Amino acid sequence: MFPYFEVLGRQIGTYSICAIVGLFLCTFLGCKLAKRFEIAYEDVILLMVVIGVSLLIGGHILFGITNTNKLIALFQNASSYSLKQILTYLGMCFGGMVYYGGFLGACVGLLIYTKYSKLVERPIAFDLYAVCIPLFHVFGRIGCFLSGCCYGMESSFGFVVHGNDLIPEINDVRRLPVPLIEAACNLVIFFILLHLFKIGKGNGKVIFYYMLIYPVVRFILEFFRGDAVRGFLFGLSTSQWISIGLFVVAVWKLFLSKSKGKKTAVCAGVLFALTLAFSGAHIEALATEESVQESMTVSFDTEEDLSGETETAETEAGTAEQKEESVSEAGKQEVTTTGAEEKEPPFTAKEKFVVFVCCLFSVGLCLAIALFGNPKDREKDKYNRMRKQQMLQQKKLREKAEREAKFAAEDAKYAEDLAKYEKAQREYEEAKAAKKAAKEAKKK
Amino acid sequence: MENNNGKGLSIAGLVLGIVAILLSFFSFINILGLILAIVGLVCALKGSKAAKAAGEPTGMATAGLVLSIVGLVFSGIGVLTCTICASCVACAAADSLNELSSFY
Repeated sequence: MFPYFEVLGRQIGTYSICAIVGLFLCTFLGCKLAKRFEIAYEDVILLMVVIGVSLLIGGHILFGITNTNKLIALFQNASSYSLKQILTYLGMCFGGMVYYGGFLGACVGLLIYTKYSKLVERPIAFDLYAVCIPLFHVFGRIGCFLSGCCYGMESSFGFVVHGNDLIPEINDVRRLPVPLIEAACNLVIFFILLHLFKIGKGNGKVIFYYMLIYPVVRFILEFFRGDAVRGFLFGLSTSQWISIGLFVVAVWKLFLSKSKGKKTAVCAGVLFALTLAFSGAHIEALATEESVQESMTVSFDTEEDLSGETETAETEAGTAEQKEESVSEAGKQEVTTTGAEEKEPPFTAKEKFVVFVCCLFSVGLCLAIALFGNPKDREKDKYNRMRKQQMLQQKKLREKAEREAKFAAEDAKYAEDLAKYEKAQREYEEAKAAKKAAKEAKKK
Repeated sequence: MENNNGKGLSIAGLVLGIVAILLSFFSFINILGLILAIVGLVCALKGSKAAKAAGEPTGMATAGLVLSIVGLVFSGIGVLTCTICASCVACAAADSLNELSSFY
């Protein structure tokens, strides 16, 4: 892990560098993409500022929400803590960030911004946001991996972390590089959405395509994260519940809201059911594993009790007692080692294969739905696109005509003024000549 | 009469950008620098647009924009570094917070 580097005696976080690089790339990309809508770069930067600020606020708020029980406990016992301690605990509870909080916060920020500012239309703003957010997320996840704040479960495949001072517990264990896998998935999603944006497939719906693809990836990857601080509710993490919600919204908005095609809706439903079934199977497997471990602990306790009884029965035989103790210790070691052997591979090769196939199938299905969809939808999209272009052209022509009319009116006014001036000058000269003639006549 | 050439906004952006850069070098205060940099950036952008619309030179607005971006980057690095620290400290101190919860 490489969480910090020093510049002139100051610690600079690699995560922050990655986030800033991602932000700049997104802004640059946004400016490039917005050119086709003839939006000024100032407006795009302003849009990115709104997205960035609301992303920060949303991410911190959701992190705080995942620590609600701790916050309640803190405020209930506030009188027993000093102000410094309270501030420190608040910093812990709200200091971190959750990606989905940032995503939802930015959505809310964009809704508010596009309501009060008419600089960028809402569909265009959301399309730009949908294309930029996976790119930003790629850099964010690389930063997470480098700083060591997010990490995967113990696995036979992956990286061994050394020298992480921030979370020493994760050191010297081989872990699955979940942040890097997520970064790769986000990069793929970015290229898909960029393609959709460029061919004009989205028309304000690219954000829903993102909400269709990313939650599936996140839902599955969430099982393989080993972070200590994660909110859990009914066996699923906070992010998994949000993933389900986002997926349902995306399916509703893309396929079901206008009954655009039953086939696509069925495909999406199958995909959703598949991910849920997988999660259920995985949870069941984990529960079985836990029950096995518990039963082993119980059997160990019984063995210890039995050895204790033997000790009381044979108090006189000291050598026998020593033997019993050595036997029980050996038993303990044996049980611990077998337990470690059971626990060491957190997921089997079969599970890995299922996850891989599930991921591949889910993303492939999403891609197929997004790119091909229903032929009727394609025709309708094409028609809408043509209509939009025609409207844009008509608007341009109207503006040009208005501009020309304005120039013509200005020219006419100028010509009128000029004629008036010439007439006045001519009258003045005539008057002057008449006056001169009168003067000469008077002299004569 | 209202002056709509964006000069005031450009100057505000320039000043806020400079202040944000200065504040970004101090720990904990850099969050104020981040806020000022964002406000400065918005002012500079608005000033640049207004100056362009009025046909005025946009040099001061561009300077404000650049300084605000620099301030934003410096403050952002500081604040996000703290964010990661807080996240990891929260991770490491989860036990103490759990003790707090169990006490409740």
